[in-house]
Amino acid sequence: MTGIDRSPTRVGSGIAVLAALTTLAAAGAFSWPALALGGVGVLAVATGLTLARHDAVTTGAAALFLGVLAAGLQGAPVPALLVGAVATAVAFDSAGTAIDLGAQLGRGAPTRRLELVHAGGTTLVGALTAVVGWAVFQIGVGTAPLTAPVLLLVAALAVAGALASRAA
Amino acid sequence: MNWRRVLVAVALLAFAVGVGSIVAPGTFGLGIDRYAVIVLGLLALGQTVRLVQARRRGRRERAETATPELPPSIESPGEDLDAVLSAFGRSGVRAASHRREQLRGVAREVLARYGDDREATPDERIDRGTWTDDPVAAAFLAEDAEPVSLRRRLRARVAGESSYWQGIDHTVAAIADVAGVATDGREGRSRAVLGRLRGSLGGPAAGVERDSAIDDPDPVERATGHWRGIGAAALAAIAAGVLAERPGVLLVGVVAIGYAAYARSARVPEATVSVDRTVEPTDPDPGESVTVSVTVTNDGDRLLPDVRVVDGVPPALSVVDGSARLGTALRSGSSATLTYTVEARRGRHDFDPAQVLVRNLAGTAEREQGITAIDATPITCLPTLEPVGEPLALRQQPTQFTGRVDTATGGAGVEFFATREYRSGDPMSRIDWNRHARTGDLATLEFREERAATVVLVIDRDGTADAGPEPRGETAIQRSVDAASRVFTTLLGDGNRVGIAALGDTDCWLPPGAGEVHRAKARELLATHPALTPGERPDTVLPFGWLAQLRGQLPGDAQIVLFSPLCSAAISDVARQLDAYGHLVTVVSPDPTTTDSPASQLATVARRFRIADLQSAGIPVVDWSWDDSLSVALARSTRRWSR
Repeated sequence: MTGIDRSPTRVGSGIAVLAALTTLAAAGAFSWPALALGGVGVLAVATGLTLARHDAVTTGAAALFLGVLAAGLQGAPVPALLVGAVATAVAFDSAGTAIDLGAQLGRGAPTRRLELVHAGGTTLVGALTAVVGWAVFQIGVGTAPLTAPVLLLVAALAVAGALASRAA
Repeated sequence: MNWRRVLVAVALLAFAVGVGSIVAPGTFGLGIDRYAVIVLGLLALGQTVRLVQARRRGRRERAETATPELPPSIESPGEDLDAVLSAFGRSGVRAASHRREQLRGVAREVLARYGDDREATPDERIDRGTWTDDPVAAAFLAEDAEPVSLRRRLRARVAGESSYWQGIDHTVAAIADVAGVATDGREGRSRAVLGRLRGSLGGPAAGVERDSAIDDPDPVERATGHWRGIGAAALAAIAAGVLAERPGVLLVGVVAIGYAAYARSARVPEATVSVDRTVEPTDPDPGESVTVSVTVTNDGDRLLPDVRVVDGVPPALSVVDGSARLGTALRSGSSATLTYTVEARRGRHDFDPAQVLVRNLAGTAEREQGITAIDATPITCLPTLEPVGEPLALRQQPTQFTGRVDTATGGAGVEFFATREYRSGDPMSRIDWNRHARTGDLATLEFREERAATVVLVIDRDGTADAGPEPRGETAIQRSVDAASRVFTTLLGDGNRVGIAALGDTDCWLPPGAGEVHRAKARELLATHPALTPGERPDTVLPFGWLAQLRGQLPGDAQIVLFSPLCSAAISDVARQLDAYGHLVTVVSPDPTTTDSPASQLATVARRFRIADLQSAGIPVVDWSWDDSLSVALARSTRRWSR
């Protein structure tokens, strides 16, 4: 026995790549820039998983996310955007978990249950937020197109500010 | 802190009003127009940039886990050039010029011992640079070493090595060449030395090199930074959505904010985990497989979504099958089991606490803790004592007991020794009747007397003996202990009185004795004494206090058999001193040296010097090559010493 194989775990890597491909399909179907950015993102996530590099995974997730935004700016349908956003988050989360698990426990350790629970939690949170947001959006469309989103934006900004002040 | 509360309050208010204005338009009658929206969008953009800048500097954190599955890594002698140089007896400041001085001293000694030039003294040859064919080495040690030319220095710099280290490498290789140490592995040797001297670079996920699974028994909590960057993503989406008036993009931002809140909300749960370990069998033979089952149970009343366990495999044992690690989610009251197989080795092996890592569902916080198993059963492996096929040639020193050591005295025995004049009272069977028939004289035959000896086996467990040629293989100490147990059995079987001591450890002492009880005691001591157990990291011992105590304990006529790789000058001094005090010393020396880097070649040269010095002092040394069995080494040395 020569050592522990500390490369990222298989289950997490598989989930991450699948999720990244889902984002690519959801956003890339509606815009060329999204397809290009998504392609770069999938490649970067896969590279990060091969080399166990968090920075490559973060770059890939950022590219996927920018792809979703690009698709949105080019008028892709809202459900596709929401699926893309949630899938991006799942890809980012699963890839990061796979790298950490690989480094701590190694590829040979049984970790499937942990990874499935983790990915399930992330998907659930994303799905809930998306459904609530989608519902608010459906109710609000046409009645108050700007006031409501802007106020929601202020709320978001304030939360983000609070987060930033914690990090600082 | 207050700033955060204000922000959260603003967020809640804005959210409420925003939702209100969607549900019941016109309730608040806010006249927010286009420009305000653009300003807010730009603000969001600015905040995004700020966040990205702030978070880029942040780091992800995670607990590092050890690799208890593997036996501890051991060094071969010569990992550190400076240590080898000072082992030649010229310790002192580790300055650049000092290394040159030390190398010069070593070269002088090697030339004095091995150089066959009768016309020039070693010093003259070094000064003239005629001692080696290698111009770099010759120039490095020469008295009037001219400064290295700028061009060569530049070339060396481009090649990634300084001319100084290049000079050291070449000089060491040349010295080893003169001493007759094979200089194989020339490829990349400079890189090897440089890497060792300057500290090697670990891979991105190399794990922690330490013996136990966990080094801090107190729980450690840390933020992992797992969702780092999600806030920036949310702000970017919101800015883009607002500025481009795309509600869909804005919703993407809302989803991202949901994740940001998720990442913030959860706290790391208490590690309410218990570990139960069963071992089967608990008293294996060496090399037997031992199955270890570890059950991890969540005793708390809350779900643990992320539990990572690395079991505390005993340091000296290696996992041969299965994994001593587990990652799982545990509901309250449920448990998970991991099973693995270790290969038993000599000694008593206690398990370390298992390293348990617990994270929250979002994976943003982590708690690291060592948890000791409820039932702490060690693995105890007592090898049976096997004799060695070839007898160790003890030195001639008779006691009053009959035994198997040949003496230089004639008497009753088996082997012919001498004839002498008949004295009245000599037994009839010993009279040389042939001679009487020929000449009529009476003469008595004498045979070589065989006597028992009192022997104390001393095992070198100095830090320098904790070495071996293979990075995860046996150490010279383990070889010594195995050899000692076999020699003990053989000597005891031949009727000698045999004792055991460990160099530098006053506790480890078995006075010379004989009989079955003594044999059982020795078996227990050799297998389980902490000073001799594999996986323990011995310190470098200062043997002189120990030596005084050992001399007090030793019977006056006791011989010493020292098992030592002779990797330190202090140990060969011990051998010489014991010999000088009248205890006849024999050294059995397993050879842990390698020749794959210049520094280890130098260590090989140093060890050869020590063996030669001991032999010239009249102390026999069995140089036991690593690839040979003990019998082969003993047979070879017996042939060399044969009378």
